Order: sequence, then structure tokens, then C-alpha cells
Amino acid sequence: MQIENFFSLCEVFGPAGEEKGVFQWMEKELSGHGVSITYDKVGNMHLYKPGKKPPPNKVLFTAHADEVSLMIQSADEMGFLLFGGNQSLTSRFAGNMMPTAICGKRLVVGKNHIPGVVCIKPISLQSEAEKNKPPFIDEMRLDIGAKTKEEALSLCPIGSLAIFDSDSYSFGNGRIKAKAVDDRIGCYLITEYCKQNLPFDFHAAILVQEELGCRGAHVAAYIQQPDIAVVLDATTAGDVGQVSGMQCVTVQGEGGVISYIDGGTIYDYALTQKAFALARENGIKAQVKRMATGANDAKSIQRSGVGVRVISLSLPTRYIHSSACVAQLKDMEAMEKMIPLLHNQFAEE
Amino acid sequence: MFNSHYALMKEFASRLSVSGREHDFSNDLKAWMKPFADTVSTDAMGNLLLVKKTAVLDAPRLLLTAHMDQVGFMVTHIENNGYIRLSPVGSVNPIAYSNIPVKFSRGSKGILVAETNCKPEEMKPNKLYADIGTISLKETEKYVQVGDVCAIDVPLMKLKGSRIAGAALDNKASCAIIYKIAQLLSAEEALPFEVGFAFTVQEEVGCRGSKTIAYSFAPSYALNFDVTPCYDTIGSIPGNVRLGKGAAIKIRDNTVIVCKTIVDSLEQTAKEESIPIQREIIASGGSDTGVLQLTRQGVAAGSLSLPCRHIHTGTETIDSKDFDAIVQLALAWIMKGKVFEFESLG
Repeated sequence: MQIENFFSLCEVFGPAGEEKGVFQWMEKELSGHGVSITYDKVGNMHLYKPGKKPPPNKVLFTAHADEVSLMIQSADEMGFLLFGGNQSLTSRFAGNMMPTAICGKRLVVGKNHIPGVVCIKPISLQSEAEKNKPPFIDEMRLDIGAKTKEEALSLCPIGSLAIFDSDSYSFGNGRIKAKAVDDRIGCYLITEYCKQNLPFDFHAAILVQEELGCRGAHVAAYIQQPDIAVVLDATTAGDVGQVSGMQCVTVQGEGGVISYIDGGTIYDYALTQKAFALARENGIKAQVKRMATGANDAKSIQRSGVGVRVISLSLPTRYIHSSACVAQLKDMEAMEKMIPLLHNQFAEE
Repeated sequence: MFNSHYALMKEFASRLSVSGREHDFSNDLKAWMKPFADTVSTDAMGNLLLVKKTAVLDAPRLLLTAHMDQVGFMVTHIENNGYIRLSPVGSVNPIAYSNIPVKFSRGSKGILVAETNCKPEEMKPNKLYADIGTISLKETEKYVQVGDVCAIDVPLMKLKGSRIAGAALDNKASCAIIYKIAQLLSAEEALPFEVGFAFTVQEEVGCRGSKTIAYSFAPSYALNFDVTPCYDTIGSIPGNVRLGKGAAIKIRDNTVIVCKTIVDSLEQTAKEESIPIQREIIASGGSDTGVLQLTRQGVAAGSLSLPCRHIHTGTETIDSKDFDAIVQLALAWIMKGKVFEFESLG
């Protein structure tokens, strides 16, 4: 893994709904490697790399291009931007940014990367009750330093998209910190695999709007009609503080996560068993997801058309959906090693 | 082969088929159903489809569906001391699943218990864990592995009259109904339309399987078979369906408002054949019916439901008289060619 290269992909501006920066990065990397690239009507990128021969089964690898984000809805008279429309703790309405993860954080808005800070009522003005509960999205503001509503909206028009402003680096014994590890790791691994000479033809789809509810995946699956799909993503690692056992969900250092079940999908049993067997036979670490939480594009792909057999392979990521995702290099490398094994095995399964 | 409705349901209900792990029960159904159909196939999700073909070209296609999965738990983690941690599969009321016997995929039996000193208000499905009597992770893994499933282990029993109680009547009883319909149809003359019998997967986790099998078979008409709650128990909210009062004709549930032509033709058939029926409306709770209806360019979809008390517990209760009413009504509706009474469904 070329870690600096991976960091440059994490740093790309790619919120749900405006993922083209990610596709531009990938097109540049893939140039000259014999990969044919097309885009569908909702913006998913479809990749095809010919191999030595066509596979008996059509296997589709997927990753999603979008990162968590917010959309600017309006501005108030003092020049602060608003980004939440209704009182709710979770923010599917926003692009999956959690209220608890954004207070005080730096964001950048739109293609001009206007910098701003997420703010709430100063603590000195909060009541005891307010201090003890997480703020609602619609109580928060984005401070871009504008003095008036007009100034704010001329810099960041309604509908502009904001992402975390967060740099990337290696630290602490083989770990990395970056934004958007979910799911730039999937995009990165597919890019790297496409650069190789492959025994079988390779199909991949880089999906849009996963963070809004796995939307792009419906269209991509309908177009591709694979027999089998391998969904590459990132998933939550809760091995922090006092958390242990089942509550961790996944653990860093134990390899890529192959789930039997999550909040959106019951994965193909035979393929999941096969994936674990491949990992064992090749001395590659792989782990299960210990609780059925979260969901990914598999839920849209599995029930598409006549049905698709699906498995997922995910990177255990601490502080997922935050400005500071933390992952372990050896888990990323374990995931990377699994891809050719899964592709070659499932091509003939 | 099965000399009573009870024997039939008992056999079906004894098979473990938690959502996502329907394969073994599917193989049994395939063997039982094969004499009554011309073709058999399974799809990528594991749905089982048997088709009774017709000699008529370009004939309409009728799909009869019943989900073959049941609620239960999937093993997601095993503790170092051998305890088995689970994820619920389908809608599971943790109170109904505390301190019960369970059976696992590979044959082991065990108990399902709630974490000790868990307050009632904190009770959630993931506070439940299983114990098969082992004392270490290594020992447990000889019998139970991550990815295996378990479900409540309460075999069917006869209550007084024609009532039957036990686990997994949702939806093994409906699979048995389809079996009976297929068996009786095979003794009749050839039909002028094609009939598919689909046993769908993963209904309990969101009506997932029905989507793909309906897309593949592309029926014009569909009848779904599932259980429906009764409103005649102590503490029940108001509602129409009662145990023993006949075949429940679905008017609406959370996924569907049933096509009026289907409701009318079912009610008319029931009147002509003197079959007891009742109208079913449930505000919460869904079924494959809605998924069938919205497939491709649309399907005229309806549902005949088996009244069932205490759904998703080890004490689900049905009445054989209702079972029989559904079989007779469906058969008459099919034989009278009611599928042809749809000119325009508006």
C-alpha cells in the first residue's frame, strides 16, 4: 500500500451528491492501465479491466465514493449557516454526519472549500439541561466568518455541500488517521487491483450516495446484473476504552471484517464460509462482525433484479464517520490480500 | 403421506429455518412438493420455486407464495467462557425469549437466557445469550459456530378442539397450506394458466426474498399466505380477526392495500362454497404481499391469512378449521378460474 497515495484520496472533496472528485482521482491513477470507464445516469462509475479470460460467474466488486457530509439549507441574519431542517439526533437528513461528531469541528464548503467551524450555543449560556444532552442538528450553525445573511449565502449558496476539513498522517505503531476512510479504502483497493494483470476479467462499480441510504447501488446492480457481489467498505471498530467482547463489534489488528449479518443484509452463507476458508488457507487475518449493526450497499445489491449473492469485506475503523478515522495498516494490507483470492475463487464458484 | 393437518404442520414446524438459513427446509419442501409440479428451481437468494405448467400458450401466471423462514437468532460471537452471543433475526420481543429452550443449526439444544440483573426497562434482544452447557470457547465451537442460527424449541402440541400451539407456526403452517393446495390441484384437470408455488426467504427481516422471485417469475396475479394476529386474547387491542372464525382475507397491512377485485372474488367464492371467512386489517405488521404488488409493472396481489395468536413466541396458536377453510377457499378460487375476472384493475 502506498500510504501517501491513499492519503491523497482520503483528502479529496467527495460528499454524497458530488463525488466526481473521487472519480477524477481514480481516472488519473488508472490512466494507461487498460481499464474502460463508464458512468451511469445517477453518476456511479463502472470499471472494466479485461483479464486472461472471462469468468464463468460475473463477480462485481463495489466501493462507495461518497463521504459523510452536510448540505447548507439557509443562513440566519447574523451570517451563520444552517444545515439541519428538523429536530432529530440522527442525521440521515444531513449526509450521515452525527451531531455529536461535528461540534467545534472544521468543515469546508463547496468547490471553493470555504472554511467554517460548527458551533452551538456557548457553554456559558447553556442551561444545566442543555449541557447534559447532545444538541440537535438544527440548533447548530456553521460559522464561516460572514457578517450578514447575504454575504454567507453568496459564499455558500443554499445546496452547497460541506465535508470535514481534516488532514491525514501515520501515527502510533502502524496506524493512520484521516477523514473519509469510509469508503476511500474500498476505492483505493479497487484502483490498485485494476493496475495488475488479472487472470479473469474484472468488473467494479464505484457507487454514489451510499451515506444517504445505499442509493447508487440500486442502479449499478441493475445495470451490471452480477452473479456475485463483493462489497468493500469500512465498519466500526469499538475496541476502545472499557469496551470489550461483543460490544466492540470489530477489533483492530484482526484483519478485514467479513460479516454473516448486519443491519441491512444476511450475507450468502456459502460465500462467507468460503471467504473465511480462503483467509485461513492463505494465512491472512479475517474477523467476523460481532453485532448485527450498520448496513452497506449489499442491501441494495442483494435484492436487485433476479437477486445477487453478496458478501462484504470491511476495514475495522475506529471513530468512523468522524473527522479522525483511525485504521491499522496491517488490516488494510489484509484486506488488500483478500481481493485477488475472492475474485479468482468466486469467478469459478 | 401426512395423515392429518396436525401431522403435516408438526413435521414442517420441526424444521429449523431461521432467515438466511432456509436451505435445509427448502430441500425438504422440494422433496415433498416435487410430485405436484413440473419444474423446480432456486434463485440467488435461496427462494424455492416450483411451477405447474400449462399447455396453453401465453397463459397468465399465478404465483402462490409463503415465506419459509422463521424468526430466531444468529450467533455473532462466542465468549471465552463458552457463552454464545446472538443477534436477533426478525422482530423478537425479548420478554418472550427469556429463559426458553432453543435448538441450533448443527443439532445442539440449549437455553436462551437474559443477562442477570438486567432491568425490565433495559431489556433488549442483545441482552439475551445462549448456553449449551459448555465451559470454554473451544468446547462451544465443537457444536456451535459464528454464523449458525438458533430458534425457540417448542414442538407443536394439540390443544382442545381443533386448536394447535407451538413454535414456528409462523410461517410453517402457511407452507403446509401451499403443500395441501398443490396436492389437491394435482388431482384436478389441467389448468388453463400457469401456477407457481414460491417458498420465499428472509421475509422476517424485511420481505427480502419475495422481491427477487417475483421479479423472476413475473406473475400477473399472486396470492400470499401468511399468519395474521388475532384480537381475541386478554389485553388485546380492538380488531376483527378471531381464532376459529375462518379464512382471513387480507384487506390491508403495513405493506399493501389489497386489490379490491381479488378481495371481492375471494369473498364471492367463499359465499358460493359456504366457507367461513373474516376480513383482515392490521395497522402494524407487514407481509410479502406488498412486495409482490410492486414488482415490475405491477401484480394483482392478495393474501389469505391464517389467524394466529401470540405470533413470534413459543406458543403460537392456530385452529385447524381456519387452516382447512383457507385450503378450500384457495382451491375453489383457483379452480373457478377467478384469475380471469380481472378486466381492468383501475
